[in-house]
Amino acid sequence: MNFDLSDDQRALVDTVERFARSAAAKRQSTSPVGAASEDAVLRWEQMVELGVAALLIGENNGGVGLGAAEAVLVSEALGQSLAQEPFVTAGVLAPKLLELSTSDGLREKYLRGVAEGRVRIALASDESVHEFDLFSVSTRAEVQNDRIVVTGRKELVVDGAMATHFAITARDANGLNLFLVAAVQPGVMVTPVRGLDGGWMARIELECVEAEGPLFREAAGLDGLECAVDHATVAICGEALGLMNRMIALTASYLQTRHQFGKAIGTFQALQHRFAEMVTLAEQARSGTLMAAAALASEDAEVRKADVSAAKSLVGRNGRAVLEGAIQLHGGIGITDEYELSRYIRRMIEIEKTWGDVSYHEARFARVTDSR
Amino acid sequence: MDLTLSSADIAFRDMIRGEIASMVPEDIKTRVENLQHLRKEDYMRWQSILDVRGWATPAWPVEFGGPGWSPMQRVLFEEACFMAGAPRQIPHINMIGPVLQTFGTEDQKHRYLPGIPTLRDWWCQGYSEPGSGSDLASLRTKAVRHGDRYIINGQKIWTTWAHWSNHMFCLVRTSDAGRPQEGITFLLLTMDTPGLTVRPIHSLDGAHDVNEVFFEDVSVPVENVVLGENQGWKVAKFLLNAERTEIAGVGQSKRMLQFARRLLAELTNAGVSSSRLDVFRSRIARIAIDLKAHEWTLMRVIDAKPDDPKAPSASFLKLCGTDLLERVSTLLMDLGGPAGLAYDVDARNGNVDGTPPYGHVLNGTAATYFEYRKSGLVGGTTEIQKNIIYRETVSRWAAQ
Repeated sequence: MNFDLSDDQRALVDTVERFARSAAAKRQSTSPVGAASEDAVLRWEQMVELGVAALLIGENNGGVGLGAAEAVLVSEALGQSLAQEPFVTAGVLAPKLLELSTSDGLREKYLRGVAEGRVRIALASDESVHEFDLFSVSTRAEVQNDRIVVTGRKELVVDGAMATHFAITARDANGLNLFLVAAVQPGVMVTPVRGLDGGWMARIELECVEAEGPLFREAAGLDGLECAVDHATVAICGEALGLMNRMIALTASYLQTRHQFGKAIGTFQALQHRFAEMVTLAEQARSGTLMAAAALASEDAEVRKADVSAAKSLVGRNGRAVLEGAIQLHGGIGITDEYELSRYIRRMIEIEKTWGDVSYHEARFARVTDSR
Repeated sequence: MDLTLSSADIAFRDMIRGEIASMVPEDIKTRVENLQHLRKEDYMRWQSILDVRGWATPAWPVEFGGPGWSPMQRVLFEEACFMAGAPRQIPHINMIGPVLQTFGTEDQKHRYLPGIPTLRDWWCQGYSEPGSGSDLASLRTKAVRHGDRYIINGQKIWTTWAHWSNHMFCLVRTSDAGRPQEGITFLLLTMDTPGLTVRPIHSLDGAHDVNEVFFEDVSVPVENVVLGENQGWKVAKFLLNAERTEIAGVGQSKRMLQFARRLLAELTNAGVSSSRLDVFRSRIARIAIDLKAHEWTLMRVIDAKPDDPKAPSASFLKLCGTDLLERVSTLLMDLGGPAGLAYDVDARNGNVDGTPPYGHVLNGTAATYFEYRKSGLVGGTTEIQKNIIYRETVSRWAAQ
C-alpha cells in the first residue's frame, strides 16, 4: 500500500486536469436543456477521444482496465474544474453495470459502444422523491408476445436528459432486476428536470416499452446493482474532493488578498482557524474516499457497503462544512451567484443528495456494521 | 497510489493477530476492556511478554534490538494489540528511544537503551512548566554549569507518570541569549537525584497520572546532555515527530468505541426505550465512520515523505484524533445515563479487586469523559494545531 502517485497516475491526472480546465461546463443556472445537454455530450465525446471513457472498462472489453483509485483521481481532477459531467454515469456506472451483468449477450452488445462513447446509459432507479432507496421499485417488467415490456415511472434520473439508453430497475416474476431500454422509442416519455447546478436530470415515464434483459440472474441481481452504484458513489466522492480543493484554494487566496481593518483578513486567528478546519475536513474526506476505493476491490460485500457508505456520508457532511466555511470566510461575495464559488457550492449539495444522502448512508453503515 | 495490502503484509497481519491474541494475560485484558486504569506492573508485564518475542519496541530498527518493522507492519501490530485487548504501549518507548539512537553518544546508547523495552527504566518527559504551556520555548527551569556538572533549579508540571519513573528527559534553559529556542538544552537525569521532588496532581476523574516536579539545586553531570548545550530545541522537534503516530489516538478511540457498543448491548438487554437506543446507535455509527477515515489518515501520514509539502501533516492527525477522543468519551458518559452518577474511583484505578455497585462496565463512564478533556491540551493544543495547519497550508492553496 502506498499513497504517492505513480508516474502513470501522475500523467493521467495532469492530462485530465489540463482537459478539465478547458472543458468546464459553461452553463448558468438558467441554461436551457438543449444547450446544457449538448454541452455535456460534446464534453463526453472529448473525453472519449482523450481515452477517459474507457479507463475503467476491462482490457478484454476494449478498455484500459484501471481501478477505483484511478476513478477517484480522474473524477477529482474533473471536479476541480466542474467538468465531471457525465464521467461518473457514462464512464463508471454504466460500464460497471454491464461488467457485473450476468448476461454475456448484453455485455457484448453494449459495452464496446459504451467504451467508444456511442452508448450513454443512465441508471433509472428512483421512484420516490422523498427518500433514496434502490430497492423500493414498483415498475413492472412482463413478457408479452415473446418480448419484455416495461411499465412505470422513474424520477431524478442522473444525466437522464442526455442518455441514449436507460437501465431500468423493475420487478418481473422472479423479483427485482435491471432492464435496458432505448431512450428514443414509442412509449418512452422523457421530461427534463433542471438540477440545482443547472444540469438536467429527467423524469422517465414508460408505457409498455420494449426492453432487453434482464441484466442479472435473479440471485445476483441485487448485489450487482448495488455494487455498480457503490462504484459510482465512490467516483462522485472523488469529484467532491475536487470541489473541496477548489473551494479551499479560492478561500485561501481571498484570505491573503482581502483587507479589512488595514490588514489581510488571513492575519486574524478566528479566520485562520476556520480555514484550518476546512482543510482538515477535506483531508478526512480524502482518507474516507481512498478507504472506500480500496473496499470496492473487497470480495466481502459487507465490507464494501460499510466503507462506501462511510465515505459517502463523510463526504456529504464534510463537504457541506467546507462550503459553509468558504461562504463565511468570503463574506457577501460567497453568496453571489456570479462568483465562481457558487457553482461549486451547488454541485456539492447535488453530490450530497445523489445515490443516498448523509442519513441514508449512516443508516446503511450502521445496519451493515451492527450485524457483524 | 496503490490501495491494496501487499501479500506480505497480509501474511504478517494474519501471523501477528494470531500471536498477539494468545499472548495477552486474561486479567490485563479484562482491565483493558473495562477501561480501568492499568497499574504500572500491568504495563511492565506486557512489555516483558512482548520483549521475549523481540516486539517490545516496534518502531526501533534492528541494530538497536527492535524488530525493524515497516510503518505498515507497525500499524498492523497495533491493530492486533487492540483486537486482543492488550494495553497500549507507553509512548515514551518510541520517543526517547529514537532520540537516543539518533542523537545520543555511544555511552548514552549503551547505558539507557537496554532498560527501555521491558520498562525496567521508566522515562517521564519534563517539558511543560507553570509559565510555559503552549509557549514551550519560554521555559525557565535553569541549568547553570559548574565545572563538569549542571545545577538545575525550577519546576516542571503535568509530568505524566513522574511518580512511576526512574528517569526523566527534560528541557532546561542554559542561555538567555538570542531567541528563546536557542538557549534550551535536552538533558537526561535520574529521579532519585537529591533536590528533586515529585508532587501528585489528581485530575478531574480522580486519577493520579500527572505530577509537579520541583528542582532545588539538582546536580547532573554534563555527559547527560543530548546533542549539545543549547541544541535542545532540535531534539525536542525530532521527538515531536517521533510521537506523531501516537498522537493520533487511534487505539484509544477504538477501545472506547468498542466499549460503547458493549454498553449499547447492555442497555438493549436492560430494556431501554428504542427511541433512546436509536439516538445512541446513530452517534456510534457517525463516530465509527470518522474513526475509520482517521485510520486512513494515519496511514497516509506514515507513508508520506517528510519533505512532501502536499502530504497531510501530523497536525491533522492530532486535530482529528482529539475530536474523536472527545466525542467518543462524551458518548460513553451519555450511554452511562444515571448510572454515571455512581463512581467507585478505587475500582477504576485498579486499587481493589471488588466490583463497583453497577459493575465495571458502567463504573466511571462519566470519569472517562472527565479524563479525555485533556485530549485537546496535550501534545500541542487544538488551537496551536490550527495555527500550524494554517501556516503550513494557506500559501500552497492560494497558489493553486
